[in-house]
Amino acid sequence: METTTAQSTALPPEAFEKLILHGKLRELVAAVKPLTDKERSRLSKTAYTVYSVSRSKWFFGTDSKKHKKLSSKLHALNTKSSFERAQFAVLAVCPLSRVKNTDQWMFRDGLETTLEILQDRNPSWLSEWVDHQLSENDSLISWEFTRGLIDAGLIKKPTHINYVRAMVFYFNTWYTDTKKSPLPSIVDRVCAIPGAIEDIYRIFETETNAFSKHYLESFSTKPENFQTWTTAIEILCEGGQLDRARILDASLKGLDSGFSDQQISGFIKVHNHLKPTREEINNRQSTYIDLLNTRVSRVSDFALKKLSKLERAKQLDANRFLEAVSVVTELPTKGPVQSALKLAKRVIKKHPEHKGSCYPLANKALQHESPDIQELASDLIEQIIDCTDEAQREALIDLVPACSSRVQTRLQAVLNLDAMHQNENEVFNSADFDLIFDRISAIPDAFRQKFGLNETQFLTKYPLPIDFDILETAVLSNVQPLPPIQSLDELIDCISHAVEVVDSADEIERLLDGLSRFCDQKPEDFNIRTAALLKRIKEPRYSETQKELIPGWGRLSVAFQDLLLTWLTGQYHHTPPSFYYEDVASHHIHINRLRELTRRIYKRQAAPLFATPTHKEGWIDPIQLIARLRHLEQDWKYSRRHDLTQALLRIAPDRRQEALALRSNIPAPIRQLVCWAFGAEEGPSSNDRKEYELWVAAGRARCPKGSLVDAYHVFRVKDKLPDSINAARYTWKSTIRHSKSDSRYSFPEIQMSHNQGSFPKNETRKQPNSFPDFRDVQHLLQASFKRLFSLSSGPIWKRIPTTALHLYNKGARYLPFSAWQIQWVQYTWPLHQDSFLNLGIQRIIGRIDENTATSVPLYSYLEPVFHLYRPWTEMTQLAVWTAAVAKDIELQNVAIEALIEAISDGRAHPEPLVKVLLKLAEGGWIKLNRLASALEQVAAVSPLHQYVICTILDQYIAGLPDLPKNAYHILQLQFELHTTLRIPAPPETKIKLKELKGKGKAAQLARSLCDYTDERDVTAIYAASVEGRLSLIDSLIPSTQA
Amino acid sequence: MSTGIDYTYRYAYASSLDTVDNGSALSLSTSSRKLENPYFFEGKILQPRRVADMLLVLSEVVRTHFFQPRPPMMDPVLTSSESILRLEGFSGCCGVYVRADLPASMFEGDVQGRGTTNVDFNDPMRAALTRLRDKDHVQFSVGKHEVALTTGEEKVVEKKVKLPIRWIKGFSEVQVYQPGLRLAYEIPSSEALRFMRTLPKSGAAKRPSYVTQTGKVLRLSQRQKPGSVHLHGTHRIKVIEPLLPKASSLRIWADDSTGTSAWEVIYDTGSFFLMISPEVYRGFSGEGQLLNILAKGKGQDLLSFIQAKLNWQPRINAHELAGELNTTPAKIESALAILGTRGLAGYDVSQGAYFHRELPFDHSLVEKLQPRLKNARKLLEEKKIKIHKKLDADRIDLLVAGTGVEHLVRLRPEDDRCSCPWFSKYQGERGTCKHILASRLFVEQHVKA
Repeated sequence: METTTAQSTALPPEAFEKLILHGKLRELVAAVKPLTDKERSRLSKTAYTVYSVSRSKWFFGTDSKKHKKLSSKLHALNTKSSFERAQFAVLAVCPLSRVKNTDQWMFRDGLETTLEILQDRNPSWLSEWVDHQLSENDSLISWEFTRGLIDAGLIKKPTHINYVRAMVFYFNTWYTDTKKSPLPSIVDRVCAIPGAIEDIYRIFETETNAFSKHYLESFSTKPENFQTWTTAIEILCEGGQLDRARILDASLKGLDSGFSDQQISGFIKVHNHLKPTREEINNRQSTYIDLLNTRVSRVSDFALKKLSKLERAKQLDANRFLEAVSVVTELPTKGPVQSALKLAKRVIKKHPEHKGSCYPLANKALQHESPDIQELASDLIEQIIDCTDEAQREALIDLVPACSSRVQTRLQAVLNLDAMHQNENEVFNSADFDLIFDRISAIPDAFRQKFGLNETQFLTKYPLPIDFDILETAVLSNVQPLPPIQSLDELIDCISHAVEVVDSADEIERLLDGLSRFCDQKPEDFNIRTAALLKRIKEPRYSETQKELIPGWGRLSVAFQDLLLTWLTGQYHHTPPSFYYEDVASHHIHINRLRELTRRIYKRQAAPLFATPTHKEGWIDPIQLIARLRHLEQDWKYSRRHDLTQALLRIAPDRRQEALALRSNIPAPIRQLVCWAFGAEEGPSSNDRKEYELWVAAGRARCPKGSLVDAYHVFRVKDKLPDSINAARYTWKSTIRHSKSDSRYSFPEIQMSHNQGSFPKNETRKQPNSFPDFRDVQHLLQASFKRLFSLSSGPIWKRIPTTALHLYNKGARYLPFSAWQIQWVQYTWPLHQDSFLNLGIQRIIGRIDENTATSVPLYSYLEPVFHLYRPWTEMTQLAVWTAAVAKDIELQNVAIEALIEAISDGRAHPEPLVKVLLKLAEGGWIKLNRLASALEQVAAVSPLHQYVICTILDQYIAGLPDLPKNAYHILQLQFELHTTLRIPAPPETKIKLKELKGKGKAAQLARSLCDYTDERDVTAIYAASVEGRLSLIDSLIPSTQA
Repeated sequence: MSTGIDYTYRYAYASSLDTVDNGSALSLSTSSRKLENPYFFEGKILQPRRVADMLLVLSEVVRTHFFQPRPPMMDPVLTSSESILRLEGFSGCCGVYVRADLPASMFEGDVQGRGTTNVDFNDPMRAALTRLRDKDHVQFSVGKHEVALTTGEEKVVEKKVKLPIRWIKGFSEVQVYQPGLRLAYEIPSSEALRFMRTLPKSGAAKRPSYVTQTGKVLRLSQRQKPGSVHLHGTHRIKVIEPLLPKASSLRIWADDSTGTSAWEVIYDTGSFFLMISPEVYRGFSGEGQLLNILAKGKGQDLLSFIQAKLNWQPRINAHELAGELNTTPAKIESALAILGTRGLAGYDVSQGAYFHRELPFDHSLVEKLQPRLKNARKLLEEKKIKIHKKLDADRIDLLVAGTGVEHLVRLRPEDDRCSCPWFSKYQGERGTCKHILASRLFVEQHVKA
């Protein structure tokens, strides 16, 4: 019913408008008070027009084109006041649709006026309007206001959940401003509002933030009477304002509501704060049992605690509990499962007649992933085994193989299992022994020693570490050939694809070779075929991932752009180096090659590239290289210098002698150089000094790890740079660098140095990547001067790719490199990857505690460790360990993968691995949880892997100066491995373990390890290791396969 | 273009699990486009916990968007026949397809009708399902007999949703993938459970992983090996973990060419099938594999004949149909693939056969709302295609106008190619581009005619 006034005074629209624009709010309220519905309706248009126009004026400063007169009136007035009055006018006279459309934020501030207007008007749509207001996400209607309407009898209590949320918000408000008088506590405020008490029960039916931590809780300046909802409810229950039993029931009901964790925790807290008596708990026993089924760990844990109290009071309904409890084992957390098992044990101890009912719990708990839970389950099985039938026993026996080893041992005794259930890997018979022995005997002595297969120690101990030379292996039979591009169409397709996404560095090499071979082909419709590609290159799109060829990051990308534009347009493109891009030393050889190729494409000198790999992983077949070399141009020193340098560094170890037999096919100017790389006797003469970097490349292809000093004495150069004529020798130290500005911050570091010379200081300093400074300008001028007079361009390391690989710029830590760019650097010198791994180690350590980032695919640096033909050097092991303890999960996974594969084939050996790990641990920054998690995943693969990881951990623990407090991470794994393998810890490890004292988790595990004495024959594991090595030898030295 | 259509699920009452005299009663409310509230099943569930678990996981997937926080509130689709009840659904992101197969042996009761319907899944029912136990006596019904008479006191439930077009498209697209799946591994449930627990809980990994088997152990590897299964977004498959303790085995299916994989939980009776897209951020809807079928139109001639033969068969025998229609099973399979794209057939990988069901949505939208096909037709209408070179009848080069450049399309019997950035990037892996589609349509209309 809408209010009608008997003696109404009509208000003309013009007067109403004047009142809104010029009057006072009280005058407006008084003027509309006596109006009938009809009269209000007549004023609706006026009110809404003034509202709209003043709103535009106030919010946006715009005038209405339709209501110019009104807009001009507003010019002279206080728009804000007019707008505020207009809002109340809308509320007073407009229909619901218009009221819904207004901003209404004034109604919150002018609460009393709003209530007065609504009381006077009492529209039929008021409840609908309140519900609409509450359902809005950014509702401006306050709980206080809604309560006002309810108390005035204008509306019924809204059912919308936002009503409860608004109430929580209202009572959660506190003043921290000392100038304001403090607000009363929640309890006082609730008690002061009639009807508010009843609303509190609804908190347990609604998802609110009542139990979220209030920001004031941890503030020292919080009001003295500050209360949380939990405390307030407790006080209200104590005071009798709230019904205690109803709150207990409501909080339990709320636990089964699927609300957020915070809310659930709040309900539990309220329930616990009320300290339900034993009787109250007993009355709700069936509810607690039902709560076990909620599949929420927190709730199950809470219910189990209450049921445990009942059990102690001998009031637990054992049968119902045992029937219901097995569902708890499906929870993801261990806590409730442990509580359930312990409670069940207590129950059947008092009520043995219920043992049979425990079976489902025992069975499901035994399937739990945690060995601790399995252990508790086996305790329970021990107690109930006499009450199980045959089918149940068989079901339990089926579960034994999936249990942890220590549980298996216990269950074998409980279930009377004999040796038939033991691990089949333990069986090793003499026939296998003979077979392996014959295979080893067939291997030449030299290889047998290098692969750690000494016959005298055969299968009596774990084989020795492998130590072979990559030059002695067959590389090409282990890698796939790289098919060249066949036609111009295929070339255009490949480049179009690479411009969008580069799949690998192999693709880059293929397309460079394609460009080199097809650069003279310009059919009539060439421009039509390449129009889309040209547009794409000219209008590159920004990308963060660097997966595209263009726009990539830095000078490499610019060089590619110049190359492709030269090919597509026929005009020579050369963009000078920009100071905006970091100078990445390891990219120099590629940039130089791209520039070289750009010049040849411009001249349309079509010929295959020398340096394109014939096989994947960056290798060139020596015979195929000779075939390519016949294309050597007369101006090769200018047009092919870098191509030839790169080609020499990629020569595969295979077929070098065959290639030497074809030496006459090599063009005379480079015959001696190339033959030297293949292994011929005749070295350089003093006349070859101008081709110094080419001879260094040939020397590094000939003997990657050896010294060239004697052979190159004819050059009379003082070159001490790493991997130039002196092979790099690495010394490293793991340490922590503390921040100079703030000692709280520290950064793990691996300080790497080469004993053979170092870079001049000005070369290693960080290049600016923002704006050029004076020194850069000077550097540029010097370079231009040198070029002008045909002097050497730039420092020597820029021309020696093997040396440039050692120059690591710490500023490059955050530079985006894509996987293909890293892979391309790796292909610079496939014969020897320590320098590349060093680059990787430095980048990994720089981000050791950082998450995976798409723009920094660190895992790419571990690619070479998977190559079968590469022995694991100290750098390999360092790279793998650093990656294994990194936070970057993708990187860690690749390190795990590398360990799994290299342990299988024998390249990873526990002794050298543990030495590197111990040295790395000296830095004190290794996170043992990460290490344990990585090693656990490796050990899960096979008994061989378990044995290797177990040995590593034994030696690691023995080698540590002190065991850290959190050593339990690794001790847990170590204990599991020892019990699985059934071997004891070695004496030196036990000595170290005995140093751990106390009752902590680590000390307990240490004692268990020391007490473990089971010992079995591990010949089968040694045999598995030998077999892995034999397969490796078959792959690397095909002649031994017979 | 609108990304969704307004759709209203109109249920005569809310699905519920209520306590009745002798146990519980699970009642699924139905809503279909053709029949208002179909009545399909009435009986008793023999293993209530298992059925409840399957329904919960199914509803979990349907309510989840695997890379955005806001889940759309979609309801699953149920297909009923005498031998099986199938519930299908799609995740909000359209990257996970899910199907629960409940054979008749899981129930005691009678199928009252054949057909497909939406079924209401609401929060109270989900909460109640978690409390079911195998020993409980649970009555089960899909729809109700004479709804109008029995629902006097029940409230009609209307859920107005913005049904994403890609959700409907995904249903069609997923049928194109399934026949290409190979069985990669089948492992006991205990090993499957162990493997699932080793998976990272967060799906934040940037790169795909590969599921590989070393000995008897299944593990996640970062390197692709022969036979390994591509997996991106491990959190998407972790949803089936609650089903594994009671299962007998887990089958892992893979499509190596696309990177799609499917995870099938096998029970002694019944199974649960979950299929995931190659990447978390790629829904099946955007893959465009069905565009090839729609564009090439192979098997169109048989469609009407086959459609006449469809009668909610749980397994369509292609050989039988081929015999009846005097054609080859391969042609029948092609035609069924087209029907799959129109929502008229689903594919069951275990059986290696299609089954009949009609999705309760207007599936004509799928073809109309394929943006690439729509754009291709626009190119054709605007006459933006011309022949560049005709090498022979099957090898034609065309020029199609693009933005500021003309793209060269090379139509070849073995492999069509285009110079546009989309094709250059994906090389046809995510369906053909609009230029190739337009060229194909152009050749069909102008050259071959």
